[in-house]
Amino acid sequence: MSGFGQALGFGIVSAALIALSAVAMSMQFGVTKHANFAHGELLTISAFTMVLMQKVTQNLFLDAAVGICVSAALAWVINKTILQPFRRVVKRLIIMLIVTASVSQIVQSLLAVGFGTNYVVLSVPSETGRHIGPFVWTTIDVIIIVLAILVVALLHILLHYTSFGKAQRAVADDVDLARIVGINSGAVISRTWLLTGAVAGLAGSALAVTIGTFSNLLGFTFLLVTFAAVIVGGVGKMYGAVVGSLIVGIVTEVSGYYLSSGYKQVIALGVLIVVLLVRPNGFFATFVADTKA
Amino acid sequence: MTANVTEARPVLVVDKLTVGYGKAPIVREASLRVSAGEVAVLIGPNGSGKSTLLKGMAGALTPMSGTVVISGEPDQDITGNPPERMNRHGMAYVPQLANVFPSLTVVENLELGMYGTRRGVSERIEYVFAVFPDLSSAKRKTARVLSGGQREMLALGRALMGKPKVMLVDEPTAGLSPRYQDVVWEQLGRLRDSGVALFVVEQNTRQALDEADRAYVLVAGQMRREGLARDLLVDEELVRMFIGEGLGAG
Ligand SMILES: Nc1ncnc2c1ncn2[C@@H]1O[C@H](COP(=O)(O)OP(=O)(O)O)[C@@H](O)[C@H]1O
Ligand SMILES: [Mg+2]
Repeated sequence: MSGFGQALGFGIVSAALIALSAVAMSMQFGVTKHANFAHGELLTISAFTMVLMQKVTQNLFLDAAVGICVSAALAWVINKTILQPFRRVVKRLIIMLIVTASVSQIVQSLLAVGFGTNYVVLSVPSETGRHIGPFVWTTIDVIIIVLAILVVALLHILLHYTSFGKAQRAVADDVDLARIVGINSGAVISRTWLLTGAVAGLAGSALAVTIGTFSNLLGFTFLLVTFAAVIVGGVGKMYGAVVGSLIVGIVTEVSGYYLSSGYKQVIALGVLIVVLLVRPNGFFATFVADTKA
Repeated sequence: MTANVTEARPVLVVDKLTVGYGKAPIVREASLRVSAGEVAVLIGPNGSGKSTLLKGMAGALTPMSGTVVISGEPDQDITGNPPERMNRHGMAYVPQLANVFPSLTVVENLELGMYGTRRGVSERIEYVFAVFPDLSSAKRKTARVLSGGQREMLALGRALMGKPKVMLVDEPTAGLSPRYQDVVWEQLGRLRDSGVALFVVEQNTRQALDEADRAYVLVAGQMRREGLARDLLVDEELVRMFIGEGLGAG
């Protein structure tokens, strides 16, 4: 039982990490209506920024803060310089997917040029977990769980109680009508990239601190579980992404307790496939539902 | 009931507007004017370009030539402004379909009608609820669950939030039950009486001519007729041209 409790505890931490990445992806998807295959690189760039920052300061919070800013800036720049001009000329979804996939490859290659393809190390104070109820968590684990809850709560407040959040929901519902009522939808989309880039950056920092050693494929590898969580929960809905993260995080960690932990990615894929089998149109059904609503 | 249209100074002046999708013009050199406290209707067969003309006026399509001017001190040439800039010039546009935000509540939809303004929003919502009492009882519902008639009222109410001088309304009664069509027209009448200039596309020709002050007839993208609604109602050529059955049936 204690082994199971421990695995469940890991599952919750894993779910918190996935949730940070997934709520960012979900919000961006909801507003822009296309998937971003460079989402993983927003996580990676934040993690690598932390590694660089460690040469300047050992304060992990400060390192993470800079990492978050760099991710937010990268997301904003990608939208401004690449996605926005493409959106103006082509409206086809597949083009946007190819463009974001290309951006993903470019960022990966640039990181390989700068850092090589080997693992880099983020030095994190070593710490043994403490028993908290049935779970065994380190301070960092607890911070990540609290941060995930905090981010979801703040995004909820943003979406429902601020003028910008309501404008985001309006653009997500109907971008043409949003313009007609006076919303500068381009500005809303631009700020959404900035915000979701920051949240993805937070996910990347949290991931970097948790695993400590990673390569330029850190975020790309995490893209699969993020997609799985977002799709399992129902695309475009923030709470769907949270529920999806819990399912994917807990199922992968708990099954890793019974099987080998090497199967985690396979299990995540398995969860995704099972969900898609139950809802055969999965991803694309929600695509359509979201755009026509 | 009918306002004295010949005396009033126009609020909206559209001159020789040509609008289309891509390179092909659909509406050619359409001219019209609407005054404060007046309902002008635009009638014409399906596909004649009524919605296209409205989109060109509202900035949803960029006109190929011609001008759209809101008169005031001074006059404002708003031709080809992007749609998000039209509100601040006093023009509100209510499209025919997809004219509310389905996942937002009634109150949130109305709030967006004053997007960018902080003061006076709740007072204005109370005013809109006074004009459309049906909305008041549904204020916490999401627009998705409203009936067709309630949605139309929500769309009109949202347009009213920004205190427009001119409202462009595309087929507000389409798909509504006859009883609700009367309700919508009654409310359009109230908006007119509050001093708004209304330009309304209407399918039901007879009702349109009954309710409006001024009427325009668009056929195959060209303005074929304009005049006082009551004159057009008895215009034999017009009746023969395309509203014969409509009048007979009504
Ligand atoms: N989005 C569009 N792209 C190209 N042509 C269009 C589009 N919408 C309408 N049209 C064409 O423009 C013409 C006028 O349509 P519309 O303005 O909707 O007519 P009405 O509102 O009078 O029924 C029609 O021939 C229609 O096929
Ligand atoms: Mg039409």
